[in-house]
Amino acid sequence: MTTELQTIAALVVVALAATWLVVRAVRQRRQPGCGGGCGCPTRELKR
Amino acid sequence: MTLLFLSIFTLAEYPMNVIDGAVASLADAVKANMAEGDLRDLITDGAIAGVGGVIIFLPQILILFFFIGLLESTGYMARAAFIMDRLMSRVGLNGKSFIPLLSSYACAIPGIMATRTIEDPKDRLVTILIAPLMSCSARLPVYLLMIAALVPGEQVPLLTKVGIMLLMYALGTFGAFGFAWLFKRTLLKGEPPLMIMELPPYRLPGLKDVALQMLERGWLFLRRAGTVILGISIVLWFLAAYPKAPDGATAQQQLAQSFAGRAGHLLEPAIKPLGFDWQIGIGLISSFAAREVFVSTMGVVFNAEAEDDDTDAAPPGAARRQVAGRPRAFHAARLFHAHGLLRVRDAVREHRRDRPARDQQLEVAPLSNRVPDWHRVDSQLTGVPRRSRPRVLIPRFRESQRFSSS
Repeated sequence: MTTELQTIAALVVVALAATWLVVRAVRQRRQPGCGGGCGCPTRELKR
Repeated sequence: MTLLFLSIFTLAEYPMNVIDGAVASLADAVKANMAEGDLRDLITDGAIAGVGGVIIFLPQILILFFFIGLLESTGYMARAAFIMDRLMSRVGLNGKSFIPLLSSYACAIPGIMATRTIEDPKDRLVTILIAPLMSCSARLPVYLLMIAALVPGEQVPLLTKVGIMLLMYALGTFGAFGFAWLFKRTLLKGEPPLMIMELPPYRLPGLKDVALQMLERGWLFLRRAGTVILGISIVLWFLAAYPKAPDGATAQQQLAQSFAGRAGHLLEPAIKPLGFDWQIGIGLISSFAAREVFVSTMGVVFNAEAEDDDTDAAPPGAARRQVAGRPRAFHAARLFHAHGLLRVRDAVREHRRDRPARDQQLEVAPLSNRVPDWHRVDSQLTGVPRRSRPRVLIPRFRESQRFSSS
């Protein structure tokens, strides 16, 4: 993989990660909670 | 507690070294098999260094929850609450506040939710306010990193490290009691109510339950490391790698002029009196997303620094080793985390939640949230029907577990 291609791939991964974090933050704002890791029930468990 | 922390340090050492070595080998393998470039750096310096720096603490988390599970399943915790009643009454609270505060050692959120079993609104509010000061499990990796920084290597006896860990926990606990005392004598004055509680019989610990609880916590930790921490590590790598420095610049110069470095420098005047430098500032900013991210940030930041000394990537455990030599800054960071400033956000979030959603959540709360049915005990003792009392929701499968185990 060339250096340029690696740069593009890395930036795509960063963009995807940032988008996922933003979507997660917005979703959490609508439905607040601890964000996991505290023993709170998952969405599946709530259903 | 001393035994617990001693075992955290001694028993976990070998598996931690194994994980450290495995993660370092993975980073080396990626370096060896990929051409030089941004994607390779993202994988090794961002993802592997960030996540590896956190998962290295998995054995210690598992040991902590194994011992907590043992204490819970023997029936010792209820007795501890009873014993603590006298101590709690000195700060104006009663033993009922003990269970929420104890839950806060796992996580402040279930601790705050468990305060609904406290009838007196003032006591409930004081308990909510002090619950975030308890040292939750997410702070354990941060504390361990700080101990590695303050007392590095084999120069210091193991008991000193254990003592520092105990002090960190004690700092949070006594800080919480101090604030409770202050609140109960100023803003939220009131007499501490009497405490009536049911004491379960002592029994042999159910190893299956303990193992399940331990695995559940371990899985949650790993899931967090594989999702939020991975995502933040990737974004943080970008912030530490861009904009690119001119050719020939060292990794330290690159970090200093990157987005993350600029943010750290911007914050530095405000945090300098605490003994923090701009690199710790980057860690503090990122730890607002999740406490453990402080560790992975240090992994990413110091990994960049390590490249100045060695062209090979430093292993993810390098964060633990390379932060040594900054004891003053880490002492301040310890206070920052021990006093749970970040948990204020959690308390606000919990308050914002609408009541039905909170109730629904408590109804299906998993086994690790131990909320005793105080109102049922009260109604049995006083003869006042339960319906006329405030509604208390008990986790459904807690009830079934209680009956099956007794």
